[in-house]
Amino acid sequence: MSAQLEQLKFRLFEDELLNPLRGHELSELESFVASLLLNASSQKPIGIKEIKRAVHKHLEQRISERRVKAIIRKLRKVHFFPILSHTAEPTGYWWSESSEQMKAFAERFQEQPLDQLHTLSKMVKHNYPELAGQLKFEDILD
Amino acid sequence: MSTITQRQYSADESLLLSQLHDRFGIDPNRVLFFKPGEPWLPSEELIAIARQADVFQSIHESFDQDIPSLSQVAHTAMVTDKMGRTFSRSGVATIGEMIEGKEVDAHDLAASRALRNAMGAAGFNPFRVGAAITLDLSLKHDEEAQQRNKDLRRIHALAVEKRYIKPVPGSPSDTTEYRNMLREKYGVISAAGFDATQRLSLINHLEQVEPLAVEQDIEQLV
Repeated sequence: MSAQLEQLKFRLFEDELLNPLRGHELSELESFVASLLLNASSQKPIGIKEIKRAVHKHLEQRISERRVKAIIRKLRKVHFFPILSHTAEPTGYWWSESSEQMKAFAERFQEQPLDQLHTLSKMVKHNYPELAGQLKFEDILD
Repeated sequence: MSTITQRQYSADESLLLSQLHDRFGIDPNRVLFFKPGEPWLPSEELIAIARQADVFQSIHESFDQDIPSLSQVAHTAMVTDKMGRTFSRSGVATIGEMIEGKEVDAHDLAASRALRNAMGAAGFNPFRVGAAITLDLSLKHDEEAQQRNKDLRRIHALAVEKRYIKPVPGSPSDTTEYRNMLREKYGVISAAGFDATQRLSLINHLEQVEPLAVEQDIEQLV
């Protein structure tokens, strides 16, 4: 990963801590999960079980798998974080490391229901605007 | 290494000095206080306490790097507990830092901070001997995530205090000076990607640096 792309995820995260989009501040739990995933990569994504274990250890909260998914969804949809995921091994989440990864993820993600597509359009438009025209969700964008 | 000048200690500070002397033979004159209730000991004394407390298999401390752009030095300390778990941490100090009005050797300060951090990661507080706790630190990146967020909160609070970040009512904060400082000192525009040593370096820098002048101050000077 280039230094510039490596910086992107860190800059997005810190920007959101300093100036939350539309005033939606990251909660402690959301901030922890987002920070945890900064250490993940496409080769070494962080899975739901590991997120649950880390949250329990550091924030002393027991959260369900459903709650983890809801947090990821909020990080993507409300905070526009380009957090990607694998459904095949190695499963888990990580911050996008390139527009190629984002594009591959978007193509898979578009097979999902409408709400997820709306979430996807937010992530792509905010972080990779150059991809927005290439991917076919014109009716969904805004 | 400067020695302490006599001053009035609080009851808690007196108790601490007395315990350190009685249990570990630490000369009270070697203990300085950054501010009331926040003690500092040179690295040699910290190691002496840890060895006598017998909670570690090994303790190592060494110089890590100079950070010339900030006149800082970084040291690294590594401790291995009785269960064979190793904890490595950094400590940073700025040349010319003062404690109780005395300039303290930056290398000794960085070394003692590294030791305090490493011992703390292992659950050992040399100033509360006997309070060693066992931590499960098998997942390194979750610890990093937690520490990153904690450090960023401290960095942002200091940046606001020193006017590198300017809150703007009803609008996003003005982070221009903060970004400029990061770019000038570290060659990046975000501290979120820093490793632990870099974050400590930035915290130390922000603690030491004078606040930026506000526009009214500049106008008065003109």
